[in-house]
Amino acid sequence: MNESTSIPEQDQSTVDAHKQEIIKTEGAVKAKPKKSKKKAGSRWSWSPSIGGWFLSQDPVFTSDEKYLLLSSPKALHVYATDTSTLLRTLSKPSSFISAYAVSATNPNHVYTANETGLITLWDWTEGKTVGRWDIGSNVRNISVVRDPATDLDLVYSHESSSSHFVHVHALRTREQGAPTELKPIFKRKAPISGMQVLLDGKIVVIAIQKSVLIGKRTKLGKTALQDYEYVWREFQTAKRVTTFDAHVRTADAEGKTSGEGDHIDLAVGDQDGVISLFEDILSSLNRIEKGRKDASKADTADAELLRPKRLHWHRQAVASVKWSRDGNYLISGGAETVLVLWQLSTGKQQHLPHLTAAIENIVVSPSGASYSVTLANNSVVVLSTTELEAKMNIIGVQSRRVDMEQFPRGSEPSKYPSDIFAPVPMVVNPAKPSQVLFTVPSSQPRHENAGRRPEPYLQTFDVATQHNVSRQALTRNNATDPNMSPEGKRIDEPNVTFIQLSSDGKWLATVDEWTPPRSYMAFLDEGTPEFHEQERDFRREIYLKFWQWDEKSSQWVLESRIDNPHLLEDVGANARILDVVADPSGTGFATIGEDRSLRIWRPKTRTRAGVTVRGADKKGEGLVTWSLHRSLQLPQSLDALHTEQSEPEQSEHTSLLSHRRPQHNHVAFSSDGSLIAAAVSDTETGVIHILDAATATIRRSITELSLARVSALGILHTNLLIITDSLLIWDLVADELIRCIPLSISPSLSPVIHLSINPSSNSFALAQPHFELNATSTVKEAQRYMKPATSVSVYNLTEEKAVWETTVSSFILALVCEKQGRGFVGLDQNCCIRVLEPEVSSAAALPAAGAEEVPVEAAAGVEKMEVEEELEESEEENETAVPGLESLLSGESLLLHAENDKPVVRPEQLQEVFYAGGGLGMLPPVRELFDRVVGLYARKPRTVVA
Amino acid sequence: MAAEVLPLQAVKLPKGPATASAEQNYWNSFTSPLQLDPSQQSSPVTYISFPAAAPSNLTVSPQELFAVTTGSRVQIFSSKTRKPVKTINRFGVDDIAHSGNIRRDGRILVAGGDSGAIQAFDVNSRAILKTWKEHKQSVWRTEWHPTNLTELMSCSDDRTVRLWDLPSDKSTMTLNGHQDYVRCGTYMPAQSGLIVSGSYDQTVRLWDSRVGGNAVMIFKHAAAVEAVLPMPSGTAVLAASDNTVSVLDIVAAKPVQVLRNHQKTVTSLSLASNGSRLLTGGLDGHVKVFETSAWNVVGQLKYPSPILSLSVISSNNEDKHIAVGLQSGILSLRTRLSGQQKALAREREKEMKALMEGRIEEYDRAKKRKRGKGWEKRIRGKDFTGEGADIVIEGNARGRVNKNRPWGHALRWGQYGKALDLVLESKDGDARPQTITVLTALTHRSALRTALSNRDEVTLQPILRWLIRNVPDCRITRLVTDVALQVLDLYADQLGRSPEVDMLVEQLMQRVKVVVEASQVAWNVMGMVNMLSVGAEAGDAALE
Repeated sequence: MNESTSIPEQDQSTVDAHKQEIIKTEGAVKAKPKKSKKKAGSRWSWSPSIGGWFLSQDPVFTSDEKYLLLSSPKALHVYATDTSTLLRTLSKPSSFISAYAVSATNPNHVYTANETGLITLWDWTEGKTVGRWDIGSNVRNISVVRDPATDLDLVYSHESSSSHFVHVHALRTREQGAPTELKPIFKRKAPISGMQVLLDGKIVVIAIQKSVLIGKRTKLGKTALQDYEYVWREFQTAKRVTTFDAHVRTADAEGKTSGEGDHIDLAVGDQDGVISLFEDILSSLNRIEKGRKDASKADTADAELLRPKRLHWHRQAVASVKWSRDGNYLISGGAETVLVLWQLSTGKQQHLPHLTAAIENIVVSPSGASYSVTLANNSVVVLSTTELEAKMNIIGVQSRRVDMEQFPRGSEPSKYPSDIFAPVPMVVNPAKPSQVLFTVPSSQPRHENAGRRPEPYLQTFDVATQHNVSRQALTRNNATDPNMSPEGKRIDEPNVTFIQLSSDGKWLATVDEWTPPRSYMAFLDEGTPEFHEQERDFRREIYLKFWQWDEKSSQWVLESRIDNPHLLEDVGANARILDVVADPSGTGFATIGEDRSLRIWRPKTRTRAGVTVRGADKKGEGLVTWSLHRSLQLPQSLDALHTEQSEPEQSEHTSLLSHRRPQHNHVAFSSDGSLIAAAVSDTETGVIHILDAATATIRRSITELSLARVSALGILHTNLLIITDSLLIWDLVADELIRCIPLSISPSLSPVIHLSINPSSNSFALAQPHFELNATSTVKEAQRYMKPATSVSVYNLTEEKAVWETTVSSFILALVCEKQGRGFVGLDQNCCIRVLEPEVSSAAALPAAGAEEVPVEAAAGVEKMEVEEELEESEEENETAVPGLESLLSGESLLLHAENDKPVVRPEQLQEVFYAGGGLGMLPPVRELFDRVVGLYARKPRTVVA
Repeated sequence: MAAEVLPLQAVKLPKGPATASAEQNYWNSFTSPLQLDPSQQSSPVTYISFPAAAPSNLTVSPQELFAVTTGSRVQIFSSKTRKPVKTINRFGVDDIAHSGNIRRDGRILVAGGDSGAIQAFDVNSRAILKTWKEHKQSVWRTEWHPTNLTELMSCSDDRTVRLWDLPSDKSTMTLNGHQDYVRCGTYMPAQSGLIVSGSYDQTVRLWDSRVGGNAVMIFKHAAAVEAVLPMPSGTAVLAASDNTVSVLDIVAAKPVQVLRNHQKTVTSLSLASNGSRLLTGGLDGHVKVFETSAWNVVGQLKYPSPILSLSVISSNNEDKHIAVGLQSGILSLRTRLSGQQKALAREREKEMKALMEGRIEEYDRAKKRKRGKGWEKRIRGKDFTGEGADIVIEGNARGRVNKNRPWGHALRWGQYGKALDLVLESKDGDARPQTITVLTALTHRSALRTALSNRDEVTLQPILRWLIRNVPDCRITRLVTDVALQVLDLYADQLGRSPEVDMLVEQLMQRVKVVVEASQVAWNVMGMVNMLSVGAEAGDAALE
């Protein structure tokens, strides 16, 4: 056991307590991302994950403001502020970063800490590790100050096990010669929500739930770490503290020299949206203490006694509040998506509204020239302080994030919100195979636990360059409208349930749904929930929209909107669309709805009285309207079996009025587009119809199988793949079942099974999410929630069993096939995109690695040095930060250091070279790559300018 | 960055049946009808001609005249003023004039007559320049050559088509071949030297004037041909016979399409909109508008009496008048007002051009315009064009006009009741869709109840009135029901306190009853139709 759990009062000998640079193997690190039980002939592998949600910690500016350090759990990223490009990625495989801080003594060094207590010191300019320490506890937050005595770093860390601690570490490397030490300064059962260290450690401010503690170091004369002692003063606030920021008032601002102490101004934001401003908090605390000498030992005060200034504009919790550098302004933000600047002397507010997502963190840059605003849609914007104009924008993968810690600990999976794991609509663009399109919510605040948010936006993400391409709204949204109803409830936008792209990538079909909230229907409430729900269903708005790609504005432009594409005619209500597929051979989409009808939609050149209507902007091209091409009411399973008369309509009618059985209807196109398979099934029965796509007539109905709860359907060549409680493969030519592989799926999770078919590799992948019990040895009892996992298996038609199987320790929310590759693309609950591809033979895989190095060495000395350093260090470890491909490709780093006479190579040009193949991991031969890269860099500067 | 505030998108309801198309609106915009009786004896107006635009090499300015033939006179109208300019009636005593045609330079008019004479008049002096009496029977059509100023042709009841040269006394060529009266004919465009003619022998014949002799192409029809019209491309000819119009492709030498939209004989054909539309007039009193690519009817106009002649008179490549001659002797002129602003804008453009070219004094003199005192100061430096630089005048710097409606602002600021009030008292033409948009937006924001609550006797009334008006609209039944139920839920216990509100609620009840009865009837009808269709199906099955 290490010392992190020992109580502060104990005297300690600390030198041996720390293990210095001890970890030689990764065996000690317990967090394995996946465990794959590979078979002997395994030929598939996951690519490293792309994306991920940025940490909740404030981003850190470097002292010269040229770079911004930002971390996702997987890696620490260094971005250049002037170009928004990713410069470097610092990561170790299989370790998650939980906190990071820049060294106070050397601005090129940065500390990262992880949940297992491993602290790493990096030189981020060169991307190598300087030192590593294991402090053996769960580090939540770190802060680094300069030790005035030794001029070395002191790391204040907030650690947690059964209770919460603040420790001061003197982490020393071998070269520094000093011993590594530890001194506990604070311990509390309740969770610490924030920590700030000021004045080289003289003041430490800590927020715990409803109170704020200010620690002042005593015995300033003694400089040894073991003599660090703090006197803690606490005051209570009325509401939970969500954020705070302390500011040291400089002496000259006061006008007179502040001999007796430092003036600390403290701004505290609480859950109700009130910002309380405590001016010179230390002296007011002192005054109160003096005022009630008799009541000794009462070291907690009430915030009201301190007479704070109340600034109340925010309606909801203040997510972040920060002082400007000069202390004249406060900058705050929250769920209102408005950045508020408070001028304290006049009380005037300035607003920057409509930021589209809740504000999570605000950071003022060291010079005060810019603000970095972290938004709850996984993006960071850097604004200039004067014009409030965006200087930099970093956008990660914004898809639905399911944080298991949002759920109550130890609760049953069945109690989770039902649709939180519903599949995320996602497609790969056939026209640009490296681009993945998926729907994203507008905002996902970290602290809110209000179930699933609708997803009205479409994000396009380039997997090859790991960059956001674009983001656009697919439905009406609350970007500029109030996001809160008069009753204080969240206003939900419509939710996009399906997106599909036509085979040429020019058309996008989307389905969105909106149902009024239950509270809105109160005026109809008669006490019968069924009636209530039915009335809500009647008011559901469903739109099928067709969008055309507009090259000029590079976004999707709405061409046609179909209101209520499916209708339950007998009750006059909109039926939900349960599946949408694109015609792989032509332009067209097929939908199947709750009303058990199959509809095929195709474009039509718009005519007015027989004359083609031509658009104003598109020369000579007729305008196109999408309309219903074919429609067919599919018979219900039992009717097809037994009776052929119209008797079932009666029963259907009554069942609709009483309660509708959940339907599991699905539809699939054959790859030549000539055949449609449509499954009509519910919880008890089911049937699959095989239709002629051209005429939409039923050719065959498969009733021989038990087809209840069909959760996915697909056609691979001449085989129909059906997922029910088992995987069924039906040969359409021979008209017989050729394989049945039982699957173990709980019924509640059956709608979230993903089936993806890749005809080019003749294979299909199946992702089955399930919950695993936590491994009991490592995690405490308190965290006994169910662990999500997804077992992914790849099948092909020739082999009886799965070709490859693995289990991923997260829920996969989308799985689609690559358009110009042989694999699949998956998106998981942590917003990570990963590519599952068959492993290429080593000869073919090599060029990628080789080609990376070539342009770098030829181009910039900086990067070359790094390669040499790496070689020197190679005996130490192999896992020093290898700059990610993207950081090399971004090219901007090269530009920074390039001489004037060096050719200018734009990142897009390099990108063209590397991704000319289009598909992921399908690079051209080494020689060709080399020639092209040399061609780029060896050009004469003149020609480049032109 | 901060997202831009856009106006709320309006709710678009499904369209009802029989809405006017843009095309029909265009033809309906020919208004300010003028009805004249040019013959003053109610003689039928048999022919209206408008010379094709004068070629640019002619020095004379086009006078924009058109000739109307009626009874024993030809009247010349000005296209600008719509007033008769000249009347030519030096025909024989019992003679009836036919087909008065102005040459495209506007100087000479030629007309045929019942006596078989062809006369050419000087338009200015009205003097007879030439008389040919070669035709043995009445001449129904005379036409000027499209390019050659001295050549013309005539069609006569003596079954011949003759070509004439203005200086010579005899016809230059006689085209024989028709078996019956030739009542229509004209030159084919584009100097092809071809002539097309239609006759009561039910044929349309194409002649080559360079060769002479027999017809080069014959199209047989089912009835007498009343009118022919070549398309500007020169590859197609339209021929009206009885109540059909046939489209003849003279390259493929076959009919392409037959338009059977008229009920009675089609008497006249005219092209409009620079050849992209065809207007046909018939004895049924209808003018139908066809588009010339697929020959669909895109519009129509109705006249009170059978139509004998029709012409679309254009100016500056725009359709200006629709001139229709009727059996009753009435000449109907409908004019599309190009709008004063348009004319003003053109004037201003001219003025600016004159200013830039430094001819402003000249221009002012021509216009007899006097300018005020500050004028010099205002335009100082504006006419500077030195150093070869173009003068660039920047567009308006006010930025984008805020198209947000007043209620849009209130809605965004969460003043839901105010937004509803504003839209209900809106006097805009599209107030109704606006109201539906606002109510839908309130539903989307869960704010409908808030917007409806806390109202007094006065402010509740507009909402009740709106409900009464909109209960019958089946497209928004759900919305109206929701609003009505919310109102009743909120104010049910207040009823009986205000007579006005009580009366409105009573009216609402009445209206709901009416709508319910209507829907009952609709159900009954549907039931009957279903029964009939099921019966028909059963009958079919039994027959099989």
